[in-house]
Amino acid sequence: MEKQWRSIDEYKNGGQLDEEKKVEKKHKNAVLDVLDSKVVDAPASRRDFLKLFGFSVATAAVVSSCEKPVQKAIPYLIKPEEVTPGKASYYASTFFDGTEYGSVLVKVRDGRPIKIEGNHQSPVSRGGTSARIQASVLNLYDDARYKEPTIRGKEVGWEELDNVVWDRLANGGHTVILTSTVISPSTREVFRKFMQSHPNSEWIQYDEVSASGIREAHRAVFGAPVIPGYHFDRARYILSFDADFLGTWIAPVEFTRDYAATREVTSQHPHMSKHIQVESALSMTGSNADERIPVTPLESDLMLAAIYNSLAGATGYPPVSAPPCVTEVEALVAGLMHHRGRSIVVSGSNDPGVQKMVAGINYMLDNYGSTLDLERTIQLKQGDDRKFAALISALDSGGVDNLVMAHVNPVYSLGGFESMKKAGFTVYIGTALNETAEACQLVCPDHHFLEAWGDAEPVKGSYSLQQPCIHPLFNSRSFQDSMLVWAGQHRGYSDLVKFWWENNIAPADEKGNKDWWVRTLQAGYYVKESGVNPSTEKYTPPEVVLHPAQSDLTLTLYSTVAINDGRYANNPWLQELPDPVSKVCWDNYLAVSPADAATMGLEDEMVVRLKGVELPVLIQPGQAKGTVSLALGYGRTKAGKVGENLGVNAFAWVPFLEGMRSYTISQVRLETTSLTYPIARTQTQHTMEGRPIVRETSLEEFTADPYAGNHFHLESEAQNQTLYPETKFDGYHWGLMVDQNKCTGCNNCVVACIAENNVAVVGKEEVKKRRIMHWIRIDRYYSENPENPKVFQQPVMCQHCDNAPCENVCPVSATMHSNEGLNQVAYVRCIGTKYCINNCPYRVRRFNWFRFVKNDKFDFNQNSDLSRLVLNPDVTVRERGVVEKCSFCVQRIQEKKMEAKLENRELTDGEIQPACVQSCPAGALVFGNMNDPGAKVSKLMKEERNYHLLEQLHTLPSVGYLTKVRNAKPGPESDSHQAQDENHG
Amino acid sequence: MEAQYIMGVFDEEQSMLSAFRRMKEEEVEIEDVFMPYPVHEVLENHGKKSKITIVGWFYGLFATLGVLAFLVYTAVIDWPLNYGGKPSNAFPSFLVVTIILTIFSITILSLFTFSWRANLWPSNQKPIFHERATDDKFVILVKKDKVDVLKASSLMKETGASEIIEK
Amino acid sequence: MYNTEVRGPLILGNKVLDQITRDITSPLYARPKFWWVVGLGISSIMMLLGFWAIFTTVSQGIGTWGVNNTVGWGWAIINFVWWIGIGHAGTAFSIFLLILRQEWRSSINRAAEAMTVVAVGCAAIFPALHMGRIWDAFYIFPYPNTRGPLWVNYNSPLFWDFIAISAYLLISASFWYLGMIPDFATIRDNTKSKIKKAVYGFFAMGWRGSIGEWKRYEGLSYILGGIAAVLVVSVHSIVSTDFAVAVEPGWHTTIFPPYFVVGAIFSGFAMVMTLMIILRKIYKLEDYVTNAHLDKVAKILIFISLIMGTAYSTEIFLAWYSGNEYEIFTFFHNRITGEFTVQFWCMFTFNALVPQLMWFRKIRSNMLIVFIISILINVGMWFERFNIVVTSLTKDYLPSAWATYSPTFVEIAMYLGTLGIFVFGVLLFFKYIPMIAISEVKAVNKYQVPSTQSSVKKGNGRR
Repeated sequence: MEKQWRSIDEYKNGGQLDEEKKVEKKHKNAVLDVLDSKVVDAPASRRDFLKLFGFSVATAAVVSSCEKPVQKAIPYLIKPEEVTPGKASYYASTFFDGTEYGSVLVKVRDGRPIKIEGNHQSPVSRGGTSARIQASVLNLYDDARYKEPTIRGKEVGWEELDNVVWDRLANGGHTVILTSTVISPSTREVFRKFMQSHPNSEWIQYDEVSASGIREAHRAVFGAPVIPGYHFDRARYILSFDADFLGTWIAPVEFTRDYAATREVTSQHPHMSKHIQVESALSMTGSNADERIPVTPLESDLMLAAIYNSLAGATGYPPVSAPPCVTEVEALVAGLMHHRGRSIVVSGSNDPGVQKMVAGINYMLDNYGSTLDLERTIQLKQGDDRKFAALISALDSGGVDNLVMAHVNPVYSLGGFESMKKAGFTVYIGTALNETAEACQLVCPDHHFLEAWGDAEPVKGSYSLQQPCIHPLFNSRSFQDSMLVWAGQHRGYSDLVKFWWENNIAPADEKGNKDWWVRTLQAGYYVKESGVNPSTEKYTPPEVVLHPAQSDLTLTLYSTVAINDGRYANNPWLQELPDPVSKVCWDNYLAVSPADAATMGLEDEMVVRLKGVELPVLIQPGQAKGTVSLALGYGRTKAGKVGENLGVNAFAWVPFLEGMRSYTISQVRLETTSLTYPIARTQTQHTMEGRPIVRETSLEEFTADPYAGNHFHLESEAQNQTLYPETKFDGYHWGLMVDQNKCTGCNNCVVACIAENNVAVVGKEEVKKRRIMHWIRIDRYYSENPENPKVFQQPVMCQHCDNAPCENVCPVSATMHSNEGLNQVAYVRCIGTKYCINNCPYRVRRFNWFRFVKNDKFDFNQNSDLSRLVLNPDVTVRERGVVEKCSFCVQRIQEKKMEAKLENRELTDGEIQPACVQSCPAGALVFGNMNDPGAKVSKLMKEERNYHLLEQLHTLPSVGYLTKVRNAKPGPESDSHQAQDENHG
Repeated sequence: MEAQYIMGVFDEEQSMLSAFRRMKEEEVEIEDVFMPYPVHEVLENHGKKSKITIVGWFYGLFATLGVLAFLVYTAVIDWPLNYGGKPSNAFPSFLVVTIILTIFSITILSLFTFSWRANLWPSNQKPIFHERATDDKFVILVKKDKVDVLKASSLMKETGASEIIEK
Repeated sequence: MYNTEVRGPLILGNKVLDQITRDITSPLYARPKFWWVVGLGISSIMMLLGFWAIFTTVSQGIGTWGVNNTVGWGWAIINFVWWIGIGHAGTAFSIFLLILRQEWRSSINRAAEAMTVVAVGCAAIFPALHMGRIWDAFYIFPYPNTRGPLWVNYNSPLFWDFIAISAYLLISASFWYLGMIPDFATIRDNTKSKIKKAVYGFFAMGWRGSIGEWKRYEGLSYILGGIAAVLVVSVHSIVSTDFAVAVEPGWHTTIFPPYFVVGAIFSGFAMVMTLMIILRKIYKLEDYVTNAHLDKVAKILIFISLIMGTAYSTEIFLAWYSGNEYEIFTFFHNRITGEFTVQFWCMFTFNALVPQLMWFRKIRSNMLIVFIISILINVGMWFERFNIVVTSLTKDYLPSAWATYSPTFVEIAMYLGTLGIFVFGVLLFFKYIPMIAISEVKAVNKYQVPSTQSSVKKGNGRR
């Protein structure tokens, strides 16, 4: 860390920027050259040119005559001591993109961050990450990043830009700084300093997808605008109203961990939480619910009111005034009452009224203090819609002279931001191309979070540090540094962070102890044990008035697991990530309930007109009748080569209701058209055809018989016969367990796998042709009633069968079995007969239909010299015409084995973690050595719930699945088709 | 130059055959007979039987053994691999390859043998005694210095040779 | 004992040997006919189309086809199996009829063998091109190499396939060529043109029809005959293992080898029928390829068609009887009914039902109808392969992976290309090679010499 620290430091010494640039370039090239000599054909700096010129004419001739580009690696002259070529080093850091927090380990290989891993020591995210966090490393190498500071599109140096800003700020106009949520205490300090030097300025936080309803509610009910800490792990009864808390709501990673903890059942411990989801669109969270009640948003509000009132009646609080709801809520009330203090009620609505009722319900159930926490409150989503609304009117009235915006995109997320032009002077601070920046006069490139210092306080009292893992690739400057420079400060931000931590966070006995700082930096997090006190006053029951629901079509807008609020539009990994429920990628679409589709005569891929915008329709089982839903975050117009003009921008329709942004719009009308629009789906068959693929049982049945729903396993075990003796694996025999009770289908593993294994992005057309390259996919099945189906999520990767059908049929021995039970592919040997693809009953093998690297037909991350820096050098980039598939991350296995060997010790269980396992927020995946009876994986393999996919084929997979257990009354259909499966063989 | 052969040219298979029989009886040594299609009586009663079939059988035998040996060496001894949990010596799979490769080798080898023994190979030019021997004539060839010329020619005349040519 | 007189004359008209020669070799000397030139033109255009498709595939990748990560094989493999099937006619004809002592084959087998060689050639194109990295195709040879040496996987049906197809190609070619040596000699000795003399002389390899030559010639043809008999049966059995060895529902069945062999002979004979009807018409060879001959082939077709019907029914019955839900789905919900109903019923009708019409002598003797039926059979056989290759793959074990398949223009173009190659090859054969084995016909011709003695002698000769 010494090094990063120093260079940044130099970088900060304001005056000598030219000097600085040289240093930077030198370092950068050094870094790039070591492994990725693409710099040779990358836009070359003067130094590069000279460097290349150094090579003799003869070499040049060779280069020009040779077909393959000659790759030159220039080694370090003086090697930084923390960099060992070929050996990865991990740095604890912090991910926060304005909406989502994660404590992460950054895998740095030869100076390049190439992978984000979860930090298992963090008390907040506890080793989990989300698909977005996994993919964020690719944004570091995004071609659309701003590389130089610009004034009206013209590249300028920093000092020139700073002078312009200083002049402007000097004449003391009203300055507004508009940022996304800031959870960094040191950054607050920066703002304080800025405010000091520019008194006539204010700071407003703004969230594209706002949760200010919750804060508003708590202000009204408890006198403090907070988002309480949610502890799903302590809840035995979870009631969620339109809150996708496992996918996108507030802190999904954290919540997934807690939630998964309550879903762990064994025959010894047959207990689990009960999760009821009341929602209009079928969300990923809803797909995991034990019971799901599809209703319109207005109906769900009325249900809340009804529940509130019956609880109020029981506890003697004044009721709220609302018309009665249609749905029966007695059962829910009973459940809540029965689990007083062990239940939790959440709502995704941004309507303060609704959130007040939620708060009230939780209060009346004594959940505050147990499942809800008013001390260690969540610091995310600090955006205040009312303030923002006020800003807009202030702008319109010309009350704002200077507008500085950082990491927000109102031009997109308001569907146009005309008022902005009223401000005479607009500055944008951000990393990559976006609509707002393009509309601003000054653009200040900010570091990517992997290049910058920083800290965070995601939850009151628990802090984490962010440290740079690579020297800035471009002439960018951290947001905080810009603010400091403009505030006339000379001390740099990196300096400030350390100072601030040592003075404000370090415990008394550690004050001024450099060692403490280094330790904390290594750990990446710090938890304040004491000194966190509730900022709340006594409870005041809310007064809410609800109006009767209109009975017509309601549009609900939601943010997706992949694209979130649109900030990841230019990230091909996320664009190609299938939606956990609909399995659609590269587009957003209008989800319509089967019943409505029938009445309106709609079919998949038909185009309808909604508010004058044309949208493709997708019939979504489980969508509440009378509602349609549409994903936010699409329809970006300025995002970069990948993300532009995909889908429609739904933000344009998000209205302000009483100063709060509302994501449900009632009384919408659909006009059908004769057009159709193709949608790319990675799965087109949605039922299991009554086959024993995802096995399921109810908690009752499971407690009665641990083998419930899984008798077929015993049968096929009994019937297994073999002509040849089964292979014995002495030494290691790798295996993977998938707990389908914990897996929520969040797709984190998919992106982790893409990043780890250099999986190619193929684009919408190829996805439509069913040629997606993902090595691990999450199958999603529906069963029973299409209006409210049971949903099953099942991750499927190579099963590494010990009797692998694919191996027998390869004529050239390109795929065969290792003596550790791995089914391996030798890419160099493969001639691409595709026979193995046909003969894999799980269809997990992928064929390279085209050359996906350096091919302009596939202009994604692998077609850009910059983006290819993210490639993992431990994994071959596959050539056109070869077959590839999941390898259990064999490179990680070998690495750890080597380590253990060098340290002359046994491998410990859980030491080896494939990419998918490492960062699974639910801890649903367990990898290990099946030959070691003590290993977690072997224990799970012995569980009654364990079974293998298609085990009747006697392929002897090394992957095991644990039967899904639902804490719900067994539906008649579900069991009948289970039974019928078992009759078959 | 002075001719060494006499050939009797017959229009009919029958007459050629009767000539052939007579000459066998009178022990007039026949050098060769040229026929547009195989007349089995001639083939069987003149010269040794062709052993090509027996040779072919041995080719087969050796091929079988050779191929099997190769398969076992490569798949079991030299580089054993685990394909789909099968033992490296998955004998049933070897049989298929063995059968086909045996057939393959028999063909190739006996083709070469044929072209060597029958002394036929592309662009090979042998003296052609009578153009129409491959069309519609049957030609019996005798060597002058081996037989009583007059006897032979008269014999062929009697049995209905259309002409007697000296060559 | 077999006796020709019983069956009536095999060759009509009382021809002198020389006339046979002239009749059969006349096309070699005649100027190419108009239709011939036209045919050659069209076929070469189709070939060009095929070459374009091949170029696209090799230069851009298999992605230019319709296949995907669920359906790994498509038209390429369908056409491969289809051509191989057709390629069985020649050898089957020569061998089985030789073994059965059916002298009448001699008028037909030359053409049939020619067809075989071209068809197998066409077939060989597809497995080569459906490889992702055709430039590494040589990896399939088990040769000592710098990679270990890493040998190949003898368990893989594709390896068996590779061996079988190349062996079959070589053997049928040599069998065919061997038969032509005496005829080349005949042409060499008859032609006036210097070039022809030189060229055919080159290929005649100095044949004179001497005793020694004939002896070894017959010996060798017995060997090849015997071998090829085994081969005809084994090659398509092996092709069938490409499917039978796999785990896919609808593939993994023991009935495949016989079912494929019979199917192959079926389509082969049908194709022979098609060709002979054209050939005898345009070359006025009715005297050599008599109605009686075609009548016999037709009868064989009826018989085989019955077998096909049985095979189909057996498959379906077993799918049901096994109670295996995956098999049941494939047959009853994906073939008989479901997405591929049309293809299935085309297959069943054309192969199992339509040929039954030929029970009626009237229909059998109407060359037009027979011609149409023979074409329909080959269409049906194509659909059979489609059913096997595609339907099983589209919807197998995990519904999540279900996908469908439709060919792209590149695949279609490649198929047209091979058709072009086939026609082209056959046309060249018509023009430059005696399409009936002259020496054999002569040997057969002698039987109507009205002398019991000869036939008895022949009898002795045979014994």
